[in-house]
Amino acid sequence: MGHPLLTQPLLTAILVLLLTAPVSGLVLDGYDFNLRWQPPLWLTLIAFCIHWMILLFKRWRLGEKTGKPSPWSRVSSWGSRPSVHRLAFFVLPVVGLVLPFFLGKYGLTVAILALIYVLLALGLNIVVGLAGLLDLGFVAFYAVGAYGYALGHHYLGLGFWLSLPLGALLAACCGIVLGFPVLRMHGDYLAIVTLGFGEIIRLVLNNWMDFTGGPNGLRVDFPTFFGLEFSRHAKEGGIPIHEFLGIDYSSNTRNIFIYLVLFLVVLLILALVSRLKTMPLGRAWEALREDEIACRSLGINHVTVKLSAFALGAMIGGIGGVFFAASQGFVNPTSFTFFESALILAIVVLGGLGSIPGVMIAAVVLTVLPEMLRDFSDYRILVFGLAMVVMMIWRPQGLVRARRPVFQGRKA
Amino acid sequence: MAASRIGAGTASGVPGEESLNTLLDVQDVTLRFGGVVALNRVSLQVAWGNITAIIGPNGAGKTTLFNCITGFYKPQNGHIILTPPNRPATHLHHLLGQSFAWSDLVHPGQVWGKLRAKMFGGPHSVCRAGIARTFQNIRLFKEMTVLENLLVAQYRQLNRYFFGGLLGTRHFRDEENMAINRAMEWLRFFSLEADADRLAGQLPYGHQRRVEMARSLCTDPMVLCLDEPAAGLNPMETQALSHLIRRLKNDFNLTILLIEHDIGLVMELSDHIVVLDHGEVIAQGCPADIQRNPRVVEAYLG
Repeated sequence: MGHPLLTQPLLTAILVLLLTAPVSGLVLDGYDFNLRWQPPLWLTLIAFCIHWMILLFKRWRLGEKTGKPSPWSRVSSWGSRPSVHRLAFFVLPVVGLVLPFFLGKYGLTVAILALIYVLLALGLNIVVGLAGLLDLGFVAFYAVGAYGYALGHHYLGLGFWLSLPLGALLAACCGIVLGFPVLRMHGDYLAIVTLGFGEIIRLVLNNWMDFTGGPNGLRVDFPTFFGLEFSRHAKEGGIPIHEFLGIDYSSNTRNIFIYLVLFLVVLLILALVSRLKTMPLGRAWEALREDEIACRSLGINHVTVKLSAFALGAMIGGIGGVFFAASQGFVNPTSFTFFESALILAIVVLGGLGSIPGVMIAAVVLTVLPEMLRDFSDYRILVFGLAMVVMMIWRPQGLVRARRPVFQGRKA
Repeated sequence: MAASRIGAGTASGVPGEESLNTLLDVQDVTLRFGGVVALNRVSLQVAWGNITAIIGPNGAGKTTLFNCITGFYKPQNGHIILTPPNRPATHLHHLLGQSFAWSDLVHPGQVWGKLRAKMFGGPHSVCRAGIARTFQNIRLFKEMTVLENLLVAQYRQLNRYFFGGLLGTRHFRDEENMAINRAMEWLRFFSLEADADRLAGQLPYGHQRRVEMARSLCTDPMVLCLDEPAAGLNPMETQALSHLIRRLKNDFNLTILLIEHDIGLVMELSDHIVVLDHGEVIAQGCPADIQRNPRVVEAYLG
């Protein structure tokens, strides 16, 4: 065996080469394609360097610590967060807040989509990653949120700000409604039932022409900011925001606004989910995933714990749905197919079941990467599947392994 | 916690009276799985502060009886009544949800209770009533640390402060720290404090057995049901276990119900022995009587 400092990055480089070569090396030219050898090599080199640097950094940190590294590497401390985490903790929100002002129209759309998927992944992470309930119909709650806003706007004239909590609440109720009949189910059976639930919602939306508009979908109003609109000319009586602020009209302003609101909501949900993980309820979810019978013998009511997982997961999915409707300005059932559910589940599994940073990274990567590889969209799913297989072989625990809290260091 | 227990023990009066002081009363419990009668009119009394052992050959229904007592199975007939000293009795079958009857029309007040038990009742309500258990095949939360395992067991005390927890209030943190201290106390009792932050699934078998006992004790029970606690332990570990169980009885005044195949351990520890065979109680009494009983010798001791 060679030196781990070289062999590990080499392995990464080979993986990257295998994965990216067909995508970046072959360029379509009419019905033919040309070979280009530089881009994959560059990508490979970059991957190699990054991994190498990470290893070096880790080694440096280990040397820095006086104590010997813990043999139980999965158990790492919350109390003494490494400085990298603390840095990320402050830098990432700032970067996220500044980012939209540098992105173009297209970049903004992608960024909003990525954030929506971060929300969805955080929601499904509660159900699948923490509570261990395999849910293949998560898109149903996404649809409930989106259609909650669309229908509320269409029939009751509800605005975005009222729809946000109402959509979340509606989705949470749907989560409980789905949760009740599947309380006794596990694994495969649960997956089938949730799959069915997801399809039922989509088919109802598709076929109930009088109410939902069927495949034609529904138009949704864009959000406003304290009554200020983001259109070029306001509707009767309103003031467009660019006139109010005295700046030139730009169609980007609306997207920047949606992005910022969405970003704040993501931060809020992130705080909520990471707190829940260390709270009794979060621990009960994980215990339920590990052993339901033991849980019940310890006085934990599995009914309420399961339902709370379904409800909270669905609620976060519903919020994602409201934002989706708001950013698109239009919803129709084709956005809520089974493929979406599978994609969200793939994000959670690839990111690492139960690991919050992992699913967030995976959500961003899996939404931004396909956009970058638009030219090669026909093979996207192929690469996607390949990545899944490779990941499951080499890193079955996902990108980032879920951490366990450590208590002993903390003096109680 | 320990002090209050000991106080309660001295209050209960003369030691001679203790044997009359029934804590858990199992009356005529019958459980059928289809045509198979797993338990046939099983009756036994567990005295307060005693160690009661249930022995018998494999398939005699010992674990089934445990499952009935802890609420995992619902017997078709019979009653299981928990009577803590100075507190009202709890009918465990009420906690598991009874079927509705015409008499409910006369007493509509009962309907709500029955409905609640049907929807939200189950083994966890039995645990809340004060009966904790361990399992024959260890059921730890393997991917969680030992301390987390013990904190999960304190869910009921901790989960009252949901919003406090979300906001991270001082009160919530105090409660958490108290729970951690309580868990560490039990870990110290079982000499497991070095393992507190290790994943439960990574521990050696003997430690896992002790973690499971510590975890069930974290629910603050009155009755502790141990299902073959010495299975898979070497003689030295068994000896240590026997010592620990005795301390649980003496120092913490716990009532212990024990299933065990290690006859030496059973004879050494128990105050009262119940022998099951083919789902029926064939003998019960003190260890000396059981050893002499011809039916027990024939069926089990050999």
